[in-house]
Amino acid sequence: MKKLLYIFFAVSIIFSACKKEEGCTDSLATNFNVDAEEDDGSCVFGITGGSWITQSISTTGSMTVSIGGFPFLDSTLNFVETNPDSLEPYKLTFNENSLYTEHDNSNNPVEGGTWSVSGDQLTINTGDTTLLLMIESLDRDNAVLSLDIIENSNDNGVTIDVDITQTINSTREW
Amino acid sequence: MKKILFLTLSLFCILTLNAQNIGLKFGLNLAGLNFGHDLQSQFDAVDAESKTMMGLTGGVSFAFELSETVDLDVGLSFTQRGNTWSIPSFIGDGNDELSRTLNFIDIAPLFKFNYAGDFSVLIGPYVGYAISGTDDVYEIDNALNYTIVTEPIEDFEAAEINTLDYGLNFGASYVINDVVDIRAGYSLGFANLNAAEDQEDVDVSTTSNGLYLTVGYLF
Repeated sequence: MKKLLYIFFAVSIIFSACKKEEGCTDSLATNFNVDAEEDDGSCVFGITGGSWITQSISTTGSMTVSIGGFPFLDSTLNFVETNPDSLEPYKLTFNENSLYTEHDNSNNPVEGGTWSVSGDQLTINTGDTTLLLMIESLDRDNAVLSLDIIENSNDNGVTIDVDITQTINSTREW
Repeated sequence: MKKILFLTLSLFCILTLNAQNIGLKFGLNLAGLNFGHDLQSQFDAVDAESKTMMGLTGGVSFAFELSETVDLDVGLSFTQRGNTWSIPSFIGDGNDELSRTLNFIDIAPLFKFNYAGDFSVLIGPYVGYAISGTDDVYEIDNALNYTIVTEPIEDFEAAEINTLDYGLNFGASYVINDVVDIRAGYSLGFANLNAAEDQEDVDVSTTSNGLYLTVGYLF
């Protein structure tokens, strides 16, 4: 009987010792587990790490300008820009120190500033402009950000109504 | 809209049955809009120069003899009123022209004073109802280029346009061989066609006015 119990405990110890620890095994993820040997699909990626290269920007919305009720400009926009020369921003790099840089298609620095994330909202401050972007989706290699440009102003009879949404599709370059 | 068409047709039938003379007339309406001082200054601020718009007019007139020297001439017509703005081009050099054209059904009872043979003087009120219209405006296309497009005005309320116009017509008529009636005159609108609210003490009231020239055929 004692022999049987001994064998049972010995086998249990051997099996538990062989069981692989599960977790995020991607060293680029924010929840990387150095002890994990088997990836359980729980990896979470942040906006930092590598650079985001814009692949396309879709623009939808409307814009009207009128003077005293008389329309001067009335536009409905619905298009997708994929030409790298026309994509702005083209390359965004978010650093851990809450600073970001923007580069153009030729890798020339264009702009920089600070950034912060709260929930799904990414706030970019260029110094003179604050942009509030929504993180629609974000994984290891792809991100979709959206930016609502809404302006309703009435200055001495000149009325400007802008309601445009830009959706930026980017891939990460590690 | 259906009510207006029904009323117009009913009036047409009644006038046709009772009129002593019926005439058809067609011509041009050199229309313009008269802006409130403040609104004009807003256009001036963007170098928008208001210009006369050439519109069409045409319809039927019914004459009733009131006395030896005075006739009542009731006109039922389609008339285009509106305005053109010349502004520094968004597209290239020079100026571009943007415009608003409003299409009215007018009823205009005119008193026709026959003083000297075939020549007569006309004066009377008019009431018009806007049935349709177009705006020539800038549009940014999907290639982000500016173009000028003509957009139908589908909702007068949303476009902040008052559809009822009224005012005074006065002019002169000359009849050739009792058949051809040439008329020229001026329409002075009193109604505010701009339904937009005054903004920050900016008076946006807008009235219509313009010269007209028609050639008619009398039956």
